[in-house]
Amino acid sequence: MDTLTREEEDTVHQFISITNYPGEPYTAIHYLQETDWELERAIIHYFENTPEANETLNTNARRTTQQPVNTEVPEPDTNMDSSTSSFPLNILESLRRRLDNLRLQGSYIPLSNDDHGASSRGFLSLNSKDKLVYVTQLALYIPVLALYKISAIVLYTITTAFPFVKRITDRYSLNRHSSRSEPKGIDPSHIARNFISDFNNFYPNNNKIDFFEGGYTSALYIAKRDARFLLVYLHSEEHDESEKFINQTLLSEDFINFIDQHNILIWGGNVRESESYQVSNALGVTKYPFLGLLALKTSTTETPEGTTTSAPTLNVVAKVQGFVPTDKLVDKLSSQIERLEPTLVTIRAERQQEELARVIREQQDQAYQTSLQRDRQKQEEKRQKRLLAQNKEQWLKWRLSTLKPEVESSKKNEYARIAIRLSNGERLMRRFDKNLPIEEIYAYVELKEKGLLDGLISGGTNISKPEGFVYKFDFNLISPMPRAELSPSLDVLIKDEPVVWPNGNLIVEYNES
Amino acid sequence: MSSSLPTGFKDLPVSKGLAISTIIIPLVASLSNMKYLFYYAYDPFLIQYKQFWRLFTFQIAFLNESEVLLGIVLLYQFRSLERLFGSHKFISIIIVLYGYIIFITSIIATLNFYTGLKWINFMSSGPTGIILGIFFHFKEFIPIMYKFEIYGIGNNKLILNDHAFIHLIIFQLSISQGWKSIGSGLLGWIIGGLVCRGVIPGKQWKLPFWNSIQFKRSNPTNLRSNSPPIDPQNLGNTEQNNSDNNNIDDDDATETRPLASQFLDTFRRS
Repeated sequence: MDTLTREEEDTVHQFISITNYPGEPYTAIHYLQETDWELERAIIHYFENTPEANETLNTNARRTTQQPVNTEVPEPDTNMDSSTSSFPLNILESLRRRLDNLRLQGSYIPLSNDDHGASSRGFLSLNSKDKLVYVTQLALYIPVLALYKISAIVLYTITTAFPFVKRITDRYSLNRHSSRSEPKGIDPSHIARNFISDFNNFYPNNNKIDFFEGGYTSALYIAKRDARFLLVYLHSEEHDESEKFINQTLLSEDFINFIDQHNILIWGGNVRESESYQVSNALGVTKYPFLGLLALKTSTTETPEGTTTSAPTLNVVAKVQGFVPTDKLVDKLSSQIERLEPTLVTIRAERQQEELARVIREQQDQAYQTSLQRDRQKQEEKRQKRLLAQNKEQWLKWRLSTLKPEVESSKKNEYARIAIRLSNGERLMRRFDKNLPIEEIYAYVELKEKGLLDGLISGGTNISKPEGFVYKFDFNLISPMPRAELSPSLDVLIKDEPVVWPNGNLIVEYNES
Repeated sequence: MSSSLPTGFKDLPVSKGLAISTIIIPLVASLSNMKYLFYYAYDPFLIQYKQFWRLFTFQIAFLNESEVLLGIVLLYQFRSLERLFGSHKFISIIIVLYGYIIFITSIIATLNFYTGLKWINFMSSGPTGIILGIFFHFKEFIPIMYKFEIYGIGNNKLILNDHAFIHLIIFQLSISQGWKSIGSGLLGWIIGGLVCRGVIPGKQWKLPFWNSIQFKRSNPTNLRSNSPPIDPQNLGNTEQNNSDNNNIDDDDATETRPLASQFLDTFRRS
């Protein structure tokens, strides 16, 4: 997050606030990186790739539309859908269920205190007041229910007898769906796939035209990124000339070869979908069927300082509206393509070079970073070592100053006589206070080994113990017969350790490492 | 993205014609004091004066100014439907609606005649019914582009979409003559729905001789459609004329040409 520029940071915040991104902010960055910091596409990309996000979006949308309904008193039509199509079987059963429903939701006249179990105990066990309420309810509900059931039966009969009635009243007929399409949580690639399958069903052609499976925005992006020609086809199924145009022009061999030859990206949409309709308005279409050729174009302006060439932008370079025979269409498009192909080729080459340069730079960067890291590591290790040595030295000094002096031989039973053989073969004999921990022996040996004991035995120097430092002895004291290891413990006292109490024989053994 | 159609009536001759006639006919009628031509009532016009031509004229013109205004606004909106259907289909649907409304009106008149009742005596003047019928198609085929919310006091919220304004205008139009226009609006709406869903025949019917009408109409646009290829004009129906012209140009290329055409040709061949 810290490596981003201010602009990019803003984009990330926008992205998070728009998508309600649940994770940590820095994890959202890769969505934006994948789409070169284009917010719109990043959002589409995010919703396409995370089904959970899409799901929450949909439920949120649903919740906002349904909220007013939910807060109202629940109407007794919870199972309306099932009963309109199926024959009413058990009126009393459904009535009972409905009453229970109402009771649970607590939305009717308050009954007596123990009304909660009333329905489960049955009618006979109710007290007189409950009975009265129950009967009144029945009397109120039966006419309504009967009317509802009767009308359902009548409608059912009518629709079975006269199928065409369904066509008038049916809210979910074929054309209903697409015409009422509103910008919902549906992703554009889904709509595009629908269009492609419809197109291939209505005009059987073995998928001769390879329509782009994605939204208009992503088609634009790809055309821009790869510097390709983009052909936009807007289809109106209700238009008289659409069928003729598709069968005679779009699906003709010449046209398809033409598209393949020039590697043209083709995007199609039905104008009954909201997205395509907006595309048609944006492109200023006045007549269907419509084909529009889009390409990157640089515009050159002449100024007193010389000619300046602007950055390439995506422009509509040719529009074909209404029915056109194939040869005309190919002529028209190829004249534009020939005119603009050189520009695109240069742009592509430039992009390639940029990309190459970028890759090289990235590699160099990476190499630099790794070497930098190695250096840092080395430095760190060195520092650690130095610190350790420093601490050790300090500790040794401190230990020297706190080492207890040898016990007088006159004090019987107060000391342990310990014979130690050092690593260089020297033999020592020392009396240790029995109330000292084992660690004292270790410290003594260590100091002896380091040759520090030869100087002054006890110092008045005030050397403090290095904080948080635990001295690690790099040797062990071994009792040879029977072999036993003595550990440098601070808790175990000498008098409690049978190996050295009342007297012991120890050998210094250095660790392997 | 822009949210509306390209302005104007380019390539939409039917909408253009309808919009113009919606203004011109009431204007001429009121200037020449001939508004009476567009009234319809079973009694006295049909039963007493035997003026059966009134069945055919009452839908032609609105008789008051506010309706003219609303009608034009609506027809201007409905041009997106003409774009979607194509002019031929659009005019055919309008004629079918016109025919069905006449048919229903005459059935009511016949009923009145045989029973001696005076059930629905008046029909509203003007194409209210036709507009409502087209409106049904509009709702069916034109997608909603955007929604917006208006927050009221407390938790109240009004969700509207871009069709809401058209609904408002439709409502205004259909109440403008009271029960008369509500009735004919409802009638047009129902007929539009039935035609659109294919319950009653008429959806597939096409105005005959359309192509010949088209050719006559598109001849004057020839010159325009030879402009540079960046802006294609009428490639559809004027295509043949174009290609003819091009051939002629090629033949004439060797001859001396007038200065103007030389000029034009340099641009044409770029």
